[in-house]
This record gives sequence, structure tokens and C-alpha cells, in this order.
Amino acid sequence: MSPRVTAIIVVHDGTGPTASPRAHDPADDQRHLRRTLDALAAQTRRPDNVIVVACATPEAELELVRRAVPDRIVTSNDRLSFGQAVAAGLRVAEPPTSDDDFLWLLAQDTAPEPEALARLVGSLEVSPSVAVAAPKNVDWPDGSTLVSFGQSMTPFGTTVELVENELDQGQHDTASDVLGAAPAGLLVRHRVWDEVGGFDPGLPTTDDGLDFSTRVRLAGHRVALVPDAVILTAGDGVAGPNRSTRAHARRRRARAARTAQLHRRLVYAPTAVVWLHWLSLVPLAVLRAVWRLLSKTPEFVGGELAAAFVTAFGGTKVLAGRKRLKNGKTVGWSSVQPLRLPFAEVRRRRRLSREAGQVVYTVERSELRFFSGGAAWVVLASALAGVIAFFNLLPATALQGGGLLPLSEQVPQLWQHIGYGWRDIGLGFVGAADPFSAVLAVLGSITFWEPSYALVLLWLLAFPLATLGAWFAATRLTERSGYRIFAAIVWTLAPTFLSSLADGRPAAVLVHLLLPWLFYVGAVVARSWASAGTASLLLAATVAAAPSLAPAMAVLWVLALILSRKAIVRVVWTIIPTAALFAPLVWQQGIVGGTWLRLLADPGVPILGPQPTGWQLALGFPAGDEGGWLAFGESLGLPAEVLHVLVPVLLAPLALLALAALFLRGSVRAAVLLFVGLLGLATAVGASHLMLTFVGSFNTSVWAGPALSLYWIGLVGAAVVGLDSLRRAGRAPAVVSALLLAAVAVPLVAAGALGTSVVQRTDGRTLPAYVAAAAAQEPRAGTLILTPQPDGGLAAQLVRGAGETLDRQSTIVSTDPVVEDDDLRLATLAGNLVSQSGYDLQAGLAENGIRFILVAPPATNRGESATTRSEELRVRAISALDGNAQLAHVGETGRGMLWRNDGEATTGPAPETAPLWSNIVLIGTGVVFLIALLLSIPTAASRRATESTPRTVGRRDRIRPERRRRRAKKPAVDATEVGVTAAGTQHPEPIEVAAEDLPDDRTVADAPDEDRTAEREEHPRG
Amino acid sequence: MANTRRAAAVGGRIVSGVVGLALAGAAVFAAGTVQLPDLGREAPRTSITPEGASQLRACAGPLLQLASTDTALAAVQSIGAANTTLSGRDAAQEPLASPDNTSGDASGLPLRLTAPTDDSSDAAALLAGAQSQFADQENVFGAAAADCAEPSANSWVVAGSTEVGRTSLLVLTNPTAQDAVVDLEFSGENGPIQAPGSQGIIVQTGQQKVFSLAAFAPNVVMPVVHVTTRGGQVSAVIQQSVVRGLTPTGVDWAGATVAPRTEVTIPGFVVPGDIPASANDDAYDDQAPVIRVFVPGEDDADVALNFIGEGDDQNAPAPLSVTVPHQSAGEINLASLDPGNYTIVLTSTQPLVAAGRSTAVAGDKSDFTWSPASDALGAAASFAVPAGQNPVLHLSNPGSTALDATLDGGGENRSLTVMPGTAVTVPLTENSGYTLTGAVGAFGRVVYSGDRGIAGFSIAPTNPAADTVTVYVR
Repeated sequence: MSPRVTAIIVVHDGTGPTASPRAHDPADDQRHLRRTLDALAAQTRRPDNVIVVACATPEAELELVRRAVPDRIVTSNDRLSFGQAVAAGLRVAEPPTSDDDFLWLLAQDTAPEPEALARLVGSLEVSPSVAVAAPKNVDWPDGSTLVSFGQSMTPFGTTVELVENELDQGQHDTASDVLGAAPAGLLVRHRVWDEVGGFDPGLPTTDDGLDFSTRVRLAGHRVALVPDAVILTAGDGVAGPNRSTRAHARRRRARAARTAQLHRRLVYAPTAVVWLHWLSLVPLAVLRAVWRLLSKTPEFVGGELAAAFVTAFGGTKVLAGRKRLKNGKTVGWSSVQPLRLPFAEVRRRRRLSREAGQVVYTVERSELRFFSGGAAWVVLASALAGVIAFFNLLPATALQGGGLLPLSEQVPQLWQHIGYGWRDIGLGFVGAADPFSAVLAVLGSITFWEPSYALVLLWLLAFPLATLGAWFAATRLTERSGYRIFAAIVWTLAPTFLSSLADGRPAAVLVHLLLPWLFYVGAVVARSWASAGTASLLLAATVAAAPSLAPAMAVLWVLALILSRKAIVRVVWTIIPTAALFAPLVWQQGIVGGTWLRLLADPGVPILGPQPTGWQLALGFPAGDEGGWLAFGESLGLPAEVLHVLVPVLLAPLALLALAALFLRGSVRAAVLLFVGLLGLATAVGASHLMLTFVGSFNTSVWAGPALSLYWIGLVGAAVVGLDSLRRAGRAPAVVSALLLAAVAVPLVAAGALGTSVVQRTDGRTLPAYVAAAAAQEPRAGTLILTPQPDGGLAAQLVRGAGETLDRQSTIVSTDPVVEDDDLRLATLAGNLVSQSGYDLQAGLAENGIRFILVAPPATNRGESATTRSEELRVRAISALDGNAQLAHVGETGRGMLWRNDGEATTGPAPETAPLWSNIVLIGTGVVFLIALLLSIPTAASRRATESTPRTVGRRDRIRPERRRRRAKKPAVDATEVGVTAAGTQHPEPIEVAAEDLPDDRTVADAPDEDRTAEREEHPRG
Repeated sequence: MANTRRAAAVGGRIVSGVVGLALAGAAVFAAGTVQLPDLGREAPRTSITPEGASQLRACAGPLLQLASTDTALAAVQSIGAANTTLSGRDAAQEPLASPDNTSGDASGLPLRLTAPTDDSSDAAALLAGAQSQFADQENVFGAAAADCAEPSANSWVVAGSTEVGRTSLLVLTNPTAQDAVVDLEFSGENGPIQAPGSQGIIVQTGQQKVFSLAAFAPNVVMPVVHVTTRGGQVSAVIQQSVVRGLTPTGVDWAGATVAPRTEVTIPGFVVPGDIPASANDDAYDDQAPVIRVFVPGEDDADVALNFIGEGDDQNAPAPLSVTVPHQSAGEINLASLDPGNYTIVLTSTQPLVAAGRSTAVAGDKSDFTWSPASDALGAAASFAVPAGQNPVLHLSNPGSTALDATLDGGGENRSLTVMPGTAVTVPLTENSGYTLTGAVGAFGRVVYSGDRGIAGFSIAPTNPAADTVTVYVR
């Protein structure tokens, strides 16, 4: 009997289950459907029955369908998947009467060539063992590229397309038997279809054809390819996945592919081990999420997790699939073994696709030239300068002075002081820790044998690290080694940096070291996820060390958001680790406490700082005193008026260079950098007027150092941009301004030798040795430190253990203007201790766990000497304490007069814990930082991706033909300024491809992005 | 085309450059000149008033004179007994030992006065005591009075003289429960005086030690003694007696003056109407009314003296100003003032200590009295008036608000009103205790005058070592 062909055409409204809604262009659907119907009508061998299944099809397309006069039209209001639609269509078809009843599966966008059906029927007629004939799927509209021609599986079940996006030159025309094929255009024996149960409803778009063909194979039949039958498919998402290259469609495709793979794994697994596969679904999903983060494709993480959960909890009806497989299976799995692709073959294909060179280089990324450009020598020289400047700190194991204190002795203690929980400062309370404690925990863990040594290393290595960071940041602005070195030197000699080093401010030093790296990665955040991840980590560390920079960073972030178009998710990610780190403090100080301004206070030890004037801030001196020149000049005999004029004059060339950059080429970059500098200056001026922190009877302002570092980076960056535009002519101004800056920096660099630096070696104890020795036995022994104040008052502080540590400090305490209950208890005790009083001191001392009382030398106000009132109070305190029979006078120590409480001293109030919230905060912050860390770890693929981007930011690297002609006359051309393609041919309109490739499961390369040329001026910050 | 594009680009750069330059200049100028207000609160503080402790006072004991025996070179013996009066609820007295006094307890002993503090009240108990003695002997004549002071760890005694004919005895009394290790520092008109043996003197608990000032600082016209103790505390008093030729011309006890500060007030300074004539033509006459000052710091002080007169005649003398060199004692001569009682307020650029001395005729001899500076009184103060001639209270109000005070004692209850910048004189009854309430910021002194000599003592505020202290909690 002659074979009967029933063609089933599945028509959607064009927005199939996997297509992105925005891709919908109704004219497109009409074009696809019209062409399909026309092609069907033009077949040399017409199908005997045409059944159209219209799923939620609009009226216009239905009209088209009706005009083609099919035999049956089945309409449905739901958007059925391909398999379900075919099954719905088959319900109205006649049952098969012989083995030669065929089904031709078509969709709205599958247009067969005129000979296609004849060839397909011919192949099925000739070979009765073949149950499924698959045509060649080629690309719409001209059919030059092969989209799909057979699918197979690896031994572990991963789908592999046998043909990946190749030009159809007949190279695969010899293929015959395959394991599976794409569903579009399949010719299937109707009986076999019924026998096997049709397509699996759990595979709506992906792998449905492969699964069907596998089951056909397992039922003992064959699946054959017919190279002569050609079908054009547009990839609308009806038969097979949507082939759109938009990000939304890619994500859906990845999720569908993974769901399909897991579903098939559960369906094909032997009964004995299916529970093992089921248990492994979620852990594997987490591992794959980590792998996605490592490979810098975080947009697929959601799909991985969703696929695992949907499959594990029955969304794809695994049990029904297993039953269907069991019913249809007649031969074992070993029969399809030869058709699977061995792993070696899979690896070979992957290598070939990588080497196919999808990235077209339009810009030559120049070499780093770290060693050949002289930067290594400069870093070495600055290391030497650092060692000489801090020579007296070389043998130190811990530092003290200014804002420096030792860190906790053990690394686990360091990590207990972060997050939310018991804050062991003073009498203790439950609250949020400063984010800076987390930075200190990381620092201290680096030198885990002696956490305080990390700060010593920070001081000793400050100069070379600053030079290195600035040199790398300068590589984003200029290709010339000389100017990169200029930037490195000017950054190392920045007065704000040297002031912070001399005044002992570790947070400000850290900010100055981190800012160039933040600029280095932040300038290219939009290019890749690796830089977004690194930038987010660096931003978190910088803002944690200097919360006063938060408003300026927020302004820059908003600016980046506005100016970024495609990369908006990456720019949003940069702020998330910072937000996670600050969340507990923002909650406690801002939302609950309502005092938002206190969030800007400096972390660390509260110390009395100077009050610089606006002019001094504009010159870049956060400590006033013209960078130590006023005191230095006095000793040299220079009058102050001369210095007030001389120092600005010496710094003028640098400022002039920065401003001149506005007039030269690249003024947009200079303008942006000068805007950053302006933000820094405004922050510095504002910070110097925010008197937020309390020290005894004084209130002190936020240290303007970090804000001036931001100001300095703007100035130096603009100067480098200007020099880069001047090219050779900028050498003299660069040398002159660097030398003058070095002259200005002399007193600060020599601060250690001159004795104006407050940083000193210490043995790690901030209390007298007697107390430290007692604290070895009694770790919670409290010392009450009484400091007479200049106005005759008394400052009372409680310290536990061998002394205060830097990671225990809390801005919640140091900025609190209200006398809390705990404070009042301590104040009453202190007031009565220094007077003749009838107060029950023993009970007060025991209740608070005070073992020692220390009367410190009187506090002085910024360089003055102790007032008589403070001396009087000190005498009064000493005589009152001497007169107390329960206190034993230990004697005068280096830190004051010490008394010991010989009575019963309990350990004071017990630490409360809030385990639920502290765990939640810790885990949440940890997860966010782990994601950022995974994103920032460089992989081979991410390194390859960066090779295709220019090293500098914001320079026009466009290839202009007329320029090239001009340049061809001059043989000595600077090759880095002219981009060349990888092949060396001159392309008038070069095509740059998206830097990331999709590591899909299917090892199918997507069509290259065609929407960007090299001619774009990237915004420096996004 | 390319040229116009380039020209446009260059023009745009120039425009943007100028705009940028202007913005930068404006920003730097604004940073330098705009005065932003400081945003922030004051450091958190709280005023802690210590709970009242039980009170302790030390009375120096009878007048002494040097008497060297074979066994003890530094021995003294007492001349008669002192009259001691106490004032205070539940006040108790007990004698202390004075091993240097070879007379033993024949003429009385130094006393320790105590008064417990009521647990239910936070304020300390009011306790006061004073002693007076009249001596008429071969080499000691005059009236002397002293109040029983609180022991202190750091006191300055500006008094005494170790010239020919002047005997000064430094009396250290330790009423506290611990031994006191005392360090003495002497200064004179020629600067600091090195005195061997002045450091580490142990005054045991409940004992008194007496030193002759000449043993440490001989031939000093204007000695100043700084007493510092560790451990227990002592009450330091200098007993000075003067003999001119063969005639004894006065004796007095001088207690501690207030600690060095820039504003010092000496209440009730008497410029007598009859100052005895100078016996010899020496340039220095220690019978003139003077203020002895000493600046312990490193810089010279510019001192301005303002006077507050008493009585209806409110014409106070014109202010004086002097420059006092540092570290050397000097005396400001007030002989030019009209006779009367004055409250002298010294305002200085450097902290200093001061005490006044005035000499008056008493019968056919003369007597002098030392008037150390005192502290302002609090809301309640008490004092005792021992036996003596014509005890009078001089109460002065150098402040700016009028005071309505109540003086309760001696069998009567008087209310006094002291206008700002004036002083009042109130007669008192001897051998009685008084309580003065409502005289916040006032200064008081009890003065005896008559033909038996002049003497006096200042009224001390209660418990200066238990003042309200401001505690900063950060």
C-alpha cells in the first residue's frame, strides 16, 4: 500500500513557551507561517492529511491557516508544548492501519524544501527497520547554515549536537544512523509513535526529539538521517528551543537544557540507583552554581537551582516518564551504546569550537611591561624608602600610638568580633560590629601566628604597595611607562598618605592602598563579571575602612548606573557586598537608632585629631600644619608666612597639569576624574566639620585622610590623562612636579627620624605589665582607667584583659552622645572613687568586675600642657584612692598610677548572646562574600576574554582608514595606537563579539553578537 | 568635513576646559573661605556628687616653743592649753599623740574630730572645730586662733619666717588611719630651697610631728612650704612667733592656703588703724600689712588685686596690679590702704598661692595674724568660735548675685543679706558653734581683735575633696 502521510503543523502565536516576549513581532509570525504553508503547498509529494493544531493563535494567523485549507484544525487556548500539541492533533487523526502510515511533525516556522517529503518518505519506504527519518535542519531564511543534523549523547547522558552551526557544504551528507534528531520535520511511523508513547510531556522544548528517538531505538527500531531532505527552521521556540540570542532567551535555554538533562537522568537511571541520583540533585545544583560563578556566568545560577528543584520535586513527571520508557523498551541500553559519543570525541569537538576563533580582535591589548617599563625598579626603590623611613619599626611585633593598637592575640578571637553579637568593650553590650573589624580580621588572619604583626607589615610595606597599586591604576589611563611611573611616585608621596602613616591611622592607610586597585578594576566593571566581583570586594573593604567615603562612592555608583546600559546588573552587584557588610550597623544605628550621621564616623580607636582649615584641605594636608612644614620650618628658622606661600607654590604644577588636561585630548576622562577629585574635596571639608566621636571631654572630627585620598586620585588621574595627551612634551612638567612634591613631602617622610611620628614599637600590651601578668590568670579582670580632663572633670573607661585591642572598638560606643545606664553605673563608681565618700566601693567594684584602677596622666588639648585643674583632680584622685583601705597601691607605672582591688572581684556582667541573629548575619554576609570571591577568581576563559579588550579605558581605539593611510607613510608607527584585526586584514567595519561565550551543555556556539563595533567610547566607570 | 569636526572638538574642549577651570577655582575657594558650622554634640558627661563620708578634722594642739633637751634636739614643749570648740551633730573628739612634745599631755594634745555621716542623707555631716590660745610669757605674747582643718594630701602653707627673732614651727598632724609619707618643698624669696631630710618624712597614724622651719630653710624672710603626702594625709599648720629685741611681739597659727590657681580670694583682711612703728631702719619691715604671694609655675605672673570693702562706706580702694616673678616668694605691701577690713581678690595670669599678714598694736606690745586664702562656701557650712576677744564674722560676696544667708548659732538665728561685691561684719559669741546656710559663693573669716592681740581663721567649705565631679563616660 502506498504510504499515507499525515502532516501535523503546530502553530503558536509566535511567542512559544521559551521565546522572550520582547522578540515577538507579529509580522514575523505571519512571514514564518505563510512561508511554511506555501512550502507545504509546493511539496512534490503532498501530505495526505494536514492537521493544524493552533494553540492560542490570534485571528490573523488562523485566517491564514484556514485559507490553506487543511483537513482538520484543532484549536486550544493553552500554549501547548510541541509534543502535547502533536498528541492533541493525533487525537482527531485516524488510527494507523499499516506500518506505512507516517506522521510528519512540523511547526509554524519549519518550511520544507519542495523535495523534502518525497525524500523522507522514500527513505522510510526503503528501510522498514527505520522508524524515524530526520531531515537536515538549516537556518532561516536562506538555508546556508546547518542548525541541526542529528543529536547524540555522551556516555553519561549529556546531549551533544552532532553538527554545530556550520556552513552547509555537504560535509555531513554521508551520515546515516544516529541516536536522535531535532523534532522539527521528523517523519515518524504512526504505529511506532503509538508504541513508544510519543514525546515526553516533561520535556517541553529541549531534548524532546532526542528522548523520543532514544526510546524508538530502545524499542528495536532505527533512526536515520536523510541528508537530501532539507527543512528551514527559524527557531521560534515551537519545535525545539528558541534560538534568540537575547540574554533572557539564553537563560531560559540554559535552564531548559539542564532541566531536560536531569529529567532524562532520572528517567533513564536503573531502578536501583534512581534514588541516589535524586538525592544528588540539589547538592550537584549547588556545586554547579559555584562553577557558574567561577566561570563568570552568574546569570545562569538561578536556572541551575530552579532546574534541580523542579526536577527533584516532580515538576517534570519523572515517574510517568519512567513508566513510558519501561512500556516501550524491548532491547537493552547496550544497543545504543555504539551511537553515543565517547568523551574523547566530545573533548575534541570542544577544542575545535574554541579554536574556531569566535573572538575577532579589533584591539591589540598591549603588554603590561611591568619589568621592561621600569616599574619593578620603582617598586623596589619605594620598598627601600619605606624600610628607611620606618627603620625603627623593623624589629617590632606590634605597633601603638595614634590610632594604632594591637589586635587580638588569637585568630578565632578576631573572627568573633565581627557581625552581630556581644561587643566586649566597656561593660559590654549586644550590637552590630563595625565593618572595619571584618577588614582587621582578614588582615590579622594573614599573619595568623601573630595577628598584630599584620599592622607592622602594613606600615613597612605601605610604600611599595602604594607604588604598585598606583602603577596598575595608571595602566588604565596611559600606555607610556614614564607617566605610569610618575603616577606611582606622586601617589606614594601623597601628603595625605604620609600624614596617615605618621599619625598612626591604619584605616586611612588601607584606603590609600586600596583606592588605586578599586580604580583599576572599577574602571572596567562593565566589561566582565570578574572585574565586577573584584570591584565589589574592594569597594566593601574601602568603605568599611572609611565610612566617610560612602556618600561619594554612592554618587559615583549612581552615575555608573545611569551611564551603563547593558552592564547594569554588574554595576548593581558592585554595591551588594558593601551593603551586606554594613547591614547590621545600618539597622542598629540608622533604622532603630535614627542617627544616620553617626554611620559616617571613623572606625577604630577614638583619638583627638587636628582641625584643618579649608585651605589646608585643598592642598591635600589632612592634619593641617602644611604637612609638618610649620614645625619643621621653625626648627630651620623659616618664618611661617613664607611657608604659607611656598608650599602652595610647590604644589601648583601638579594642579596645573590636572587642570590643563581639560583642554587637551581626552578631556572627558579628565573631567570625570576631576569630578571624582571634587567629590573627594567636598567629602573632606564636610568630614572635618563632623564632630562625631567623643574622646573624654572632647569631641573630634572625622579624619579627612581617606576623602583626601579620593581627591588625590582625581588630581593625579587627571594629570596623567593630560600628560598622556601631551605625549613627549609632558616629560619636563612631570619631572618638575614630581620633584616639587617630593620636596613638600620631606618632613612627613622623615617623621620617624624627626620624632614627629606617634607610631612606636610595643610589646602588644596597652596596660601596665602588672595588669597584663594578672590578666594571664584572670582574663576577664577589668581595669578602670581614670583620666583627668583639662576642665577638671574625669574620664572613666573600663578595659578588660591585658588591654584594648583595635578589633574590639565600636563606633556605636564612641559616637553615643547619651549617658546610658551602664555608663552611669561606671561614672558613679568613678566619681566616688576619686572623692572622700561613703559609697560602698567594694560592692561597686565587685559588681563590675574591676580588679585594677589606673589613674592616667592628665589629658591635654592638642599640644598644650596639662592644666592645673586636671593636676588638682589627679592629686585628689590619688589621695582618695590612697586613703581607701581596700585598694593596694601598686605604684607608678609607665601608663599612670596603679591600684589593685584586693577584695572579691567577680567577672562582671556575663556576655549575652543573640545566637539566632548573629548566625543569620554571619551566614548571609559569608554567602555574599563567597559569591563575590568566586566571581573574582580569574579563570582561563576570563583571561582570554580580557585579551580582547584594550588595557586603557576611554581612549578611542577606532580604526580609521584615512589615519591608517597617513600612518603608512611613517614607518616608525606606534603599533599600540592602531588596532589591527587578528588576521591582519583591514576591515572597514570590524565586528567585535561579546566577550563571553556560553558554556552551554549543548556545546553549540551561539551566533556572534552583531550589534557592537569597536567604535565606542566606553565610559571610564562603566 | 574633518576640519570642521576637529575645530568643533577643539572648541568644545576649550569651552569645557574653561568651565572646568572655573568650577575648580570656585570649589577650592569655597573650601577655603566658607565657614561651615561644626555638626556634633558635646561629649556625654554626668555630674556625680559623691556620697557623704564620715568627717575627719585635726586640731593642732597647744602653742609650742623650742626646747632642746639632751636626748632630742627637735623637741618642743607646750605653753599652756588651747581652747577648742566643736560644732557638729554627733561630733566626737579624741586626743592624738605628739611624741615631739616633751610636755606630754600636760597642756593638752592635738585632737582628732570625727562625725559620722547619716546613711539616709547623701550630704556629708557638718563638722567644724577651732582652737584659740592667748599667751603672755617671756618670749611669746599674743592671741592665736586656728580652725581644725581637714587632712589633705597636697597643701601649701604660705607663712612663717626664719629670720633673726622669728620662730616658725611646722606642725604636721595625721588623724587618718594610714601612715603618711610626707614630702616637703621649701621656697623663699630667692627661689626654691634645697632642704636635706625634707623628703619621706613618716608621720604615723594618730600622731603629730613638729619641725622647726629653720632646720630646713634658715634665714629665709618669706618661706613657702608645699606639703605632699602619700598613704595617709596630714593637716599642716605653721606656728610663728616673733621677738623683737627682748619683746615678744605676736604669735599666730597659719593654716594651709588654697592650692595654686589663677583666682585667689583672701577674705577678712584687716588693715589695722594702729600699726606699730618700725623698730629699725631696715628696708624690710614685717609689721606692714602685706600679701605674700608665690607662683610655682615656669612663667611670671601679672596679678591684679581688687578690694572689697565692708560696712556702709563702700568706697573700696583702687585696684593694684603687680608682676610677680616665678618661683620666688614676694610680698605685696598694702600699707597705703586706709584702715579697715577688706576682701582681696587676686586675679593672675599664672596659678599662685597667697596669704595675707597684718600686725596691730595690742596693749603695749603688738600682735600679728596670718590670713590665708580660702575657698568659696557651699550651700551649708559650719564653724566653731572658741574663746577669744571680740569674735567677728566677716562674710564677703565677690560674686554678682545677692545672697540671703542664715546664721544659726550662739543662741540666735540671724538672716543676713549680702549684696554683690560687698561684705558684712557680724559679731559672734565665743565658745559656740555656728551653721551658715545659703551663702553659696561667699567667703568667710572669723577675726578676734582687742588689747590681747589679733587672731583669726577662715571658714572652710565642707569637704572640698568631696565636691561634685563631672565624669565623662567615653
